[in-house]
Amino acid sequence: MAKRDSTKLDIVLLSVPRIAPVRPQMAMGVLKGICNELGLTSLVLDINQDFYLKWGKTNSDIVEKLDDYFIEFSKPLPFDVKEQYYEWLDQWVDKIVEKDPKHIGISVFSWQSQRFTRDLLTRLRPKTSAVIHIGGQGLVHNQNLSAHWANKVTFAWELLDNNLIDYFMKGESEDTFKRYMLGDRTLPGLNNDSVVKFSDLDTVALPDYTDLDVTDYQNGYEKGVLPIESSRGCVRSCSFCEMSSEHGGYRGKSGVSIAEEMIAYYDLYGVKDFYFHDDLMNGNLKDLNDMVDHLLDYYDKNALGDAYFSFSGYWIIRSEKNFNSGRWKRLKQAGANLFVVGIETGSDRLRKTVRKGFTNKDLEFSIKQLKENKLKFYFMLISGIPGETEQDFQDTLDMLTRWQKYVATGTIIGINLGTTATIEQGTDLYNNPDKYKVIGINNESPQGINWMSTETPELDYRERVRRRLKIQEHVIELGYPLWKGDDHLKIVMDQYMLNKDDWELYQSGLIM
Amino acid sequence: MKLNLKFKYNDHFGIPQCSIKVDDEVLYQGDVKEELVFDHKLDQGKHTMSITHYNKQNSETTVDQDKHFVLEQIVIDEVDIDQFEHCRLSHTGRFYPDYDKAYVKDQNLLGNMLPEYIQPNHYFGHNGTWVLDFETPTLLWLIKEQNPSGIHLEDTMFKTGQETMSNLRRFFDLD
Repeated sequence: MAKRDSTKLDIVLLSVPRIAPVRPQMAMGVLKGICNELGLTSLVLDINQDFYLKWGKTNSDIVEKLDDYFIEFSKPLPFDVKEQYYEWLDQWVDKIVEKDPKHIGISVFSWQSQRFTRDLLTRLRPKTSAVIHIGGQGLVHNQNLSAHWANKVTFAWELLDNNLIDYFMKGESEDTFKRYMLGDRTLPGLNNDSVVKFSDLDTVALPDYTDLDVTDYQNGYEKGVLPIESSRGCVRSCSFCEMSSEHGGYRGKSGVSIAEEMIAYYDLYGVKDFYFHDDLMNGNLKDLNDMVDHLLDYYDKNALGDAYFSFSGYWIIRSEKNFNSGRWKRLKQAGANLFVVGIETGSDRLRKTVRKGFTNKDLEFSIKQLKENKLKFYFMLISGIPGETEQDFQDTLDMLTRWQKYVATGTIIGINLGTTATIEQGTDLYNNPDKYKVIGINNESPQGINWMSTETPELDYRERVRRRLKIQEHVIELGYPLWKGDDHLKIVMDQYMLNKDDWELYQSGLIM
Repeated sequence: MKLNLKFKYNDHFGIPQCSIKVDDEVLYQGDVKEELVFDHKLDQGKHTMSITHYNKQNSETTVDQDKHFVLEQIVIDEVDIDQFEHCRLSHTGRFYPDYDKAYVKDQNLLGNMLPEYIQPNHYFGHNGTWVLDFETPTLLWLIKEQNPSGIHLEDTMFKTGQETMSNLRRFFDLD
């Protein structure tokens, strides 16, 4: 174990933009919880929350431009905000340096945090002797791939090569972080591209959010919302998603331990509302049902009444046979609130080709149950899935028209149209393009937006953008609450600008 | 438009009578029922639904009985229009009583000036007509009037605007 200087703070943990400022970032709580177990001192600073909800409130014009800068990689930092941005960054640098920690840890939540992380480190690094490490799913130069499972964490290597960091932690780093803080520097995932999977979720330390005011986020819940996790990986194997093949397989916490964690948070912080950060909260129905039963038992024993807590998160559509109306009712009684679901398309045919694992019949049963139990539904679609025909596209538009009544009943509280379909490393589409009749452009392998389907040659990038816009117009006309429309369309444009030469060459017909 | 109306009524003096119209078209006329269901085609735009209580006699109000009916629920295209806030939309309806002349006179003698209409009102005691303005497409009207999701994204990082759409449409020549 490394020799400790007991007078210094062991580590400052930084949560950085760009993350929706709706609750504390879970990674920070987990890492602080591990520090507690090790007897180390730690301090969590939420720069992201300051960006959006404090500094951002008084500098909204600047924040809006910076917000675009964080996601539009084809554009530089706007000149007119540079001075204020650097001034604000320097205030944070001073604050961090003033704490004089031995270590600084930064969570790079996604690719959208990369520009900020680089800017911060460029100004922080020369002013501190602290050992700096980064981790998180945003360590790769890719917009739709978790760095945990990437072959090479290109963003992390870039920072390491430029001496902006001392270490990066690739993968699910609970054990890596623990051993690193104990002084071990020869570890899988530590400055190398090994795949690191954390297996026993029940052994993770209880996350600690005491450095943060959990009520100080933008979510509409008086006592705040805390993140919680029930599983990792996914039980399905969608062709466009790398989770099933690359996310280390499905692993879950026991239902009783999840319920006990909620109860512990309630006792510690008074928080009653929780958001699951899993890929899905109903991967293991036994665990889910155990959690529901344990919560209902707790409410009953303490005379708290139904739905005393609330919980929300990602969900997969299951058939009536797997999850019947009685189970939906108990779920509601236990406190189920909002379900976030990837629907992808309204076409049964297309959904089957991408192996989503459910049908429109299952979907209609689920949304009816959501309505009857007064639950909320937020769903995602993908425009221009490889092989999508005009009829498939029309099926999606028809489904949206059919579901307008669920917007009117308040069941549907969000629709997320994403960008357009991309093909990412680790997915079955990427690994087996022939199976899906997908080819790259200009004799390259299909990747990102640079792909064509031999089944639907009309579906080039422009046509995908046309369909993406058409769906957006359709849902706006129907009154759907559309989330992140601007964000996604800016990324659609940005992705094209970053690949413009390839598409122009392809369209010139010089290379097929 | 699918329209589903639910009523309660006092039939001590016989079942109250009502007529239901959308704009100038009579959808139903006769004894009020606990539930009335219609499927009526409407052009896009503004419309008025009216419910009229008629044929009530002076003798049908006594000390302990009153011939009347109460509008309990309005469901349009499978959506209860008052599901989010208690009677919010149905309370925009106005009841124009067809006052009995003797009743008006008595009230005036007591110093009470009777209103032209009563709002909010779901109780059809007097003869008279209750009117509710609405728009088609009805679901879109309900969504705009009620914001059922309760979500306001306008000034957040989650917002959606026309400008970004227009820029993209122009760039890809999709007009």
